[in-house]
Formats: sequence, structure tokens, C-alpha cells
Amino acid sequence: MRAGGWRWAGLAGAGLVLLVAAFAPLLAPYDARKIAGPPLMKPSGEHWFGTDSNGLDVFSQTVMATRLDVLIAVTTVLAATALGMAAGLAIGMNESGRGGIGVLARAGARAADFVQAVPAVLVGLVAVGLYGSTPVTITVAIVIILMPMQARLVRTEVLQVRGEAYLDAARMAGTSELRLTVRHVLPNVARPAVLYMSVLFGVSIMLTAALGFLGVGVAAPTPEWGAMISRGATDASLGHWWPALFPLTVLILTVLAVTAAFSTFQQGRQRR
Amino acid sequence: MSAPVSTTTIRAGRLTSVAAEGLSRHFGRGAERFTAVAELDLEIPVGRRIGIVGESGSGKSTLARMIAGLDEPDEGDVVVDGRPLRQVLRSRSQRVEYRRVVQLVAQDSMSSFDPLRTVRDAVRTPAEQLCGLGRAAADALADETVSALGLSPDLLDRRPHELSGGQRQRCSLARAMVVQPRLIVCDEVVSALDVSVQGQVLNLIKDYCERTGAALAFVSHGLPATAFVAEELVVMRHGRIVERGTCDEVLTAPAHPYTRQLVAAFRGRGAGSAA
Amino acid sequence: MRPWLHHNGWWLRRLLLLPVHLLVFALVAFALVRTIPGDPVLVVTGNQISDDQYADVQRRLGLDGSLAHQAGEYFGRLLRLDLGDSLITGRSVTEEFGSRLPQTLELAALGLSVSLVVVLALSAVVLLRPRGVISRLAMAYARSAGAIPEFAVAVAGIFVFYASLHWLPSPLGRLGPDDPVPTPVTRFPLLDAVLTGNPQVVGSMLLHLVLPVFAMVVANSAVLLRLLCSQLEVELARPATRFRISTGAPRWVVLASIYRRALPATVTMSGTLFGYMVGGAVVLEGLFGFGGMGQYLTDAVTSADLTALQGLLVVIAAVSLVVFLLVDLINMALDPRRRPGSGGAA
Repeated sequence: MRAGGWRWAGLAGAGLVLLVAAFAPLLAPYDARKIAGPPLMKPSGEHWFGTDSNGLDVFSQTVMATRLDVLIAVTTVLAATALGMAAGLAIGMNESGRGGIGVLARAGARAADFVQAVPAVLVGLVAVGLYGSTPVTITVAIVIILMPMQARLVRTEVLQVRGEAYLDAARMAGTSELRLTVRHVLPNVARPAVLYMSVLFGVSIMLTAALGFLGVGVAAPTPEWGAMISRGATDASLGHWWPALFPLTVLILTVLAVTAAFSTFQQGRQRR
Repeated sequence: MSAPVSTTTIRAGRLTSVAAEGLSRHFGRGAERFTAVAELDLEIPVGRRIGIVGESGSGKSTLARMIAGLDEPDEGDVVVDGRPLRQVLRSRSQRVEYRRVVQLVAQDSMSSFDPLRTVRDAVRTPAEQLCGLGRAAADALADETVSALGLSPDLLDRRPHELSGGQRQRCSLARAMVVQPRLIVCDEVVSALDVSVQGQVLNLIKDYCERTGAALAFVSHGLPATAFVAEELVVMRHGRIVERGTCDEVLTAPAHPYTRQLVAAFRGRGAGSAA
Repeated sequence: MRPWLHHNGWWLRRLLLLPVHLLVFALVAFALVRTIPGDPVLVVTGNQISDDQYADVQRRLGLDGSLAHQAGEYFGRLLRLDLGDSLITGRSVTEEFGSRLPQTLELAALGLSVSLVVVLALSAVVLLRPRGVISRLAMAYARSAGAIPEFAVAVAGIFVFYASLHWLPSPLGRLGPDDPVPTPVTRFPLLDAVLTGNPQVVGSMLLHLVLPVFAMVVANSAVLLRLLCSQLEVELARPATRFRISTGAPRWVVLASIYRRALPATVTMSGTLFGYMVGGAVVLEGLFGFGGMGQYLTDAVTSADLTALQGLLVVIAAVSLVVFLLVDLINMALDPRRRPGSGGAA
């Protein structure tokens, strides 16, 4: 009963986040990049979340940042899942193969394991350092970081399914390996990867924000949660809590909502 | 809806000879290396029903998979109409032709159907992929084949877990028989079934072979069932053939000590349990 | 000799592969720097330079001559552990990393240790009293896995415990303004402080570490807690455990056996967690004024310090490979089945 409430709150929250992201420009009362009032005003009727040390409206910035961060997260999660599934299928199906493909697949499996030990933030830093701090660079870097996580998961599932007799039966029926992988293996291994998208979503949001927090994320003045929190941190140490608190809260609630929303999906599927 | 309308007849494929020549298959490596099949020679006479018996681990399932072209031997090869199977499988058109004439029915009917797809999908696929039939013709052929095996075609639109074990195994047979193969390899097809259902399935297999003149390689650890369907028996142990002969020969005068044990156990249990 | 090799081949082979893997990553770093958009020399210097300067910068970046020549230079220096000199700061990248990396690794290791202790304790409570208040809170926390960034906890912590309550020192370094700086011996700051034996310095340093370590632990432990709890649940339900309980074995014996079987998954997860912690440390160092990799790296990124970035890639690879190796070796030691080809064939 309590868990049920948690799930519905999650669905509602995730829906709200998507709506905010979609209609951000209509919701923001001020231009998020322009000075909207005196600096460091407390939250009020005029400025719901107050203003920051530059006099920018925190509410408008938070709303616009939601658009950017969620867009990056959704894009990266979808791309990483698609690529990760393809890689995981390719690795899992060929791992015990003889010859060059088998060797390559085994190397791929080890590499995907290894990537788990690599600090993702540092990979992001290098990517931004080499290719510039544009949303595209950040998106590509995050996809590269997330992809092995999905590949690893899918590979494990493939190893479980690979020995199933229905694959041999499909082979006997003249189904080609590619068709077999797409029609019979993929649908049977996709579920955990789809559920895992909520974790990837969290990681993606964290990475974007962490880079922003370090001051090397999406370049200012584009509003971004991490960068807002970073600037707000200075204010917070002087007792002005609102420029950091609001983006921080929205960030955490967004990830929590998406995680909870996906758990609805999980329960819903299990009930069947 | 349920009455099958015979709209499609497919031309049966041709197969003149299948033989294993010096076939070996090893699993694992190093100290754990295990030889499942060791330098095995076996000719499967086209048009005859042979039974391959042996205890679990004797390599009979591996042999069945290699004959069906699902597993590749480490040494030797299966020779089909004078050509090594390795070479046959490499070309798409020849592979299709081989699948057309040689079909495998697996032991576990539950796991041999994709849980997310209908049984119809599984039964019509061979007709589509191997015989080049369109969707409608393949469906009609699937209906017809299933009906011939005494099942209602309506069952085809269910998922595998919605069928009973016997129904599923008959659908498995239908999937193999839909392309009218010349050799059916059965790998422990009745081991998981109730004794009452075993008899039905065995009869269906035997009928098919008698009616079409197709060959049968019936792999099983159970001598009674094998002796019921087969005309010839091959006894395997530790990846090798220890004895071969007609059913009568092997059952009345077993030469190898291991065969003697098997036959003694068979007589002890009573020969009629499978029939 | 031969039987010794036979029994120890599994970890020896793994150890010998380390330099090979490192070489692969060095090659990747070498290649990546050469794929950046635009002319690297202009990226580093801006546009206004003379031809002489251009050639000089090009040489110092290791981008002069043929690709083979460049690679030869690069790998030659790498073998001498020389990652080149930064064009921006003029200092040796190896030296910079040498003095900064230990600080970051120490912070990450502290975070990992505290996290492991907390997770083990919480998981035991969840296992023993699944309906208790602490267990419910712990599970709710575990469910939040990945939703709380360390910098969020840190900023909130600074606001509450420094700006409002004044319980903790200002986030402006590892030591208070009046504390003597311990002489660097190992370059791991806390270890050095302990070695100098001045309790005031150690105390001050620990107090400064409370918030960052707390933030890292809160942000990253949930994943491990969730994994461990689900693993323990599986182990608890196993027939072997049921049997042990039914034989009337003492509680701690049952607990120990459950934990022992959940260990490999925990070890693997710890390796990943250490990666998170290193990332977390890098993110937090700037906020707390710690002089580790964090500030240096953000500077390197904003100033497009290609030499430093190229070196960073090699260092990331080295650290990750060592962690990965340790995880593998520990797991192989715990479970011989994981050792590859124990029979001798490759």
C-alpha cells in the first residue's frame, strides 16, 4: 500500500518533469539569462525561488535548466540503451564462438566489465577538455559512459537465453542469425535493460550536473542545474540558501520520480 | 475455422545419404576437457528408423545436434550426399535445402518455443523460411499439419505455456513435419512426457515415417520407447558406438556387456511400457 | 618451479597483462589528442602567434614530425614515466599528478572505507530486524540509489553545519589557518599528518574531512546497500542456509556464512564504487579547497591543456586498471572457479 503510493507519486512526478521540460519557455516568468531584479532577493510572490547573486530569477533558471538537463538525460539514455543492447547482443551471441569474432566478443565483454571501474566524471572531463563544453560533446561523452553499462547487462541476459532450445528450433526453421537475434533473443533479454534505464537516467543527470558544478559543463549563461548549484554554493556558505536549494531539490526529485515511475513498470509487468 | 483446407502441397526435398565420419566433439579445456563424441562413424540409412540409445553423457545428444547441423564437430564431419556438412551449411541456399530435409525435434517442448510468441509463429516459420511460402499459405499448411497430428488448429494461436506438455510436443513435431523432412532427428522427445502421452507421440512419429518413407534417428536413454519406434538399434557409450544391429538382434542376442545390462533392465521392467 | 607456476599462473598471467592493457590506453590517449577538432596548436595558444612560436609549441606538444616519430617520442617518454610538461603552467605533468593524485586517492579510499563499514552495518540490521525502524529507513535510502549527488549533500552540509550551526570548520582547505602543514613523506595528506604525530593537526584534518567524506558516503552507498541487501536475501533463502539454521548453528555462524557467499558481488561492486568515489572526490575538492586533482583538472579543461589531458587519460586508465585487477584477483582468490583455465591451456 505504501509502495503503491510511492509508485503513483513517481509516475505523476515524472510526468510533471516531462511537462515542465517540454513547456519550460512558457512557464518561466523571466528570461533566465537576463537580470530580473536585485541580487539575492529571498523567495517572494514576485520571484518564487528568489534571485541569485547576479539578480537572475532562480525559478526561471531552474525551469529552463530542467529542459536542458532532462533533454540531455533522455537523449543519452535512449541512445546508450539502443547502442548498449546492440553491443550486448553482439557480444553475448558470439562470445563462445570460434575464431576472430569470438576473440573480439570476449575482449568486448572484458572491456565492458573494466569500464565499470573507470570514474565516469573523469571521462567526461577529458571529453569536454578535448572537444569543448557543448551540449553535443557532453551528450556523446555520457552515451559512451552509459553504453557499456547496458551492454554488460544485456550480455548477461543473453548468456542465459543463448542456450534456450527455442533458438535452436528457430535455427532449424531456417531463421538467420540476425533475424534470430532480433526476433527471439532481443525481446527475451530487453526487459532488464528497459528497467535499468531509470538508473542510467540518474547517472546521466548526475554527470551533466557534476560537470556543470565543476564549471566545465554546458557553457554559461545557459541555465544548468549543476552550474546553478555551484554558484549557489558560494551564496549558501554565506547563509543565502535559495539559489542552491531549489535546483538541488528539483534535481533530486526528478531522479527520484523517474526511478519510482520505472518501478511501477516493473511491478506492473510482474503481476501478469 | 477448424476444418483444415488443403490448399498447399509442397514438394518434398531429396536426401540420399547421411553419415557421420570420424566425428569428434570435445567440451571444456585443460584438465576439464571432456570428449562427448569420439571418432564416431555412423551411417543413417535413408528410409530406415534407427534408435540411438545410451546413458546420459554418452554423447548421443551431441551427436544428434551435429547431425542436425546445430553444433560443429571438432574433428571429422557429417557427410550429406557426398559433401561435408560444414561446407553445406556455409552456403545459405544449401543450408536451407538441408534444413528442408533434416529436422530436429528437441526434448524440452517448453523451452523449444519462444515464450513471447505464439506457437503458430514457430510452426509456420519453417514453411516460410525453408519452403518459401507466403504468410497465408504457411498458415494453412501449419493448420493442416497440426490437424494431421490430432490437434485443433486453434491451439496454434496460444502461447507455449498455455498448452499441455503433450500438446506442445505435438506442436514440436508439427514444426518439424511441416516441411516434410526426409530425416527426423528426435532428441529425447518423450522423456519429459507422461507415459500415456508418450505412446501417442511415438505412434505419430512412427506413422509419419511409415507414411512418407522418411528416415528417423531416435535418440533416447529409454530402450523401451526406442525399441518401439526403431527398426535398428545403435548403442552408445562414452562417445562411441558399442553395438549396432536390428532391434531383434540387439534385444535377443546383445553382444556387448553394456548392452546386456541395458537389455536386462529392459526385460526386468517389461517391454510393453512404452507401447 | 613448474608446479608453483601451475598453481599461481592465474594471477601471474593477469598481472603480466596489466602493462599490455596500459599500453592500449596510452595508444588511445595518443590517438584522441590527434582527433580534436581544429589545430591543437591554435587551440592551446589562441590565434596570434608567429611561425617560430608555432613550431615551438608544436614541438612541445609532441605534434611535430611524422606520426611514427610522434608515437616514438611519446612512448619513449612514457616508459620513463614522463607525461610531458604543461604548456600552460610550464610544470611537469608527472610531478603535478604525483603530488595531487595521492590526495584524491586518499579521499576516495576514505569514502570507500566509511561507505563499506556503513553498508555492512546497515545490511546486518536489515537482515536481523527487517521490520525495525532503522531497516525501513535503510531500505528507503537504498531505493534512492543514484538520486543524490555528492555535491548536493556537500552544499547542504556546508550551509547547515558551517554557515548556520558553525559546528564544522570553513570549507577552505584541509587544515585551519593556524595549523602547521605536515611535511610530505608519502604525499597522502592524512597519512603524513599521522606520521608527524601531531594530534592537533590530525584532529583538525579529520574535522575538515567530515563533510566531504559524509557527502561521498551518502551519495554513493545506496547502490551498494541495495545490491548487498538483495544478495543477502537470496543467500538467506538458499537451502544451504536453511539447513544451517535448522541444525541449530549459532546466529553468528549463519550470518558469517551468508556474508561470505555474498562477498564476491560486494567486492566487484566496491571496485565500481571506488570509481564513483574518485569521481566524487574530484568534484568535491574544489568546493572544499582541497588541492587534489579536482582544481587542476578543471583548470586543465578550461585552458585546453592538451598535455595534461593526455596524461590524465593514461593516469585514469592506470588507476582503473589497478582497481579492476585487484577486484579480479580478490574474487579469483575467493572463488577458484573464476580462475581462467586452471588446467594450463590459455
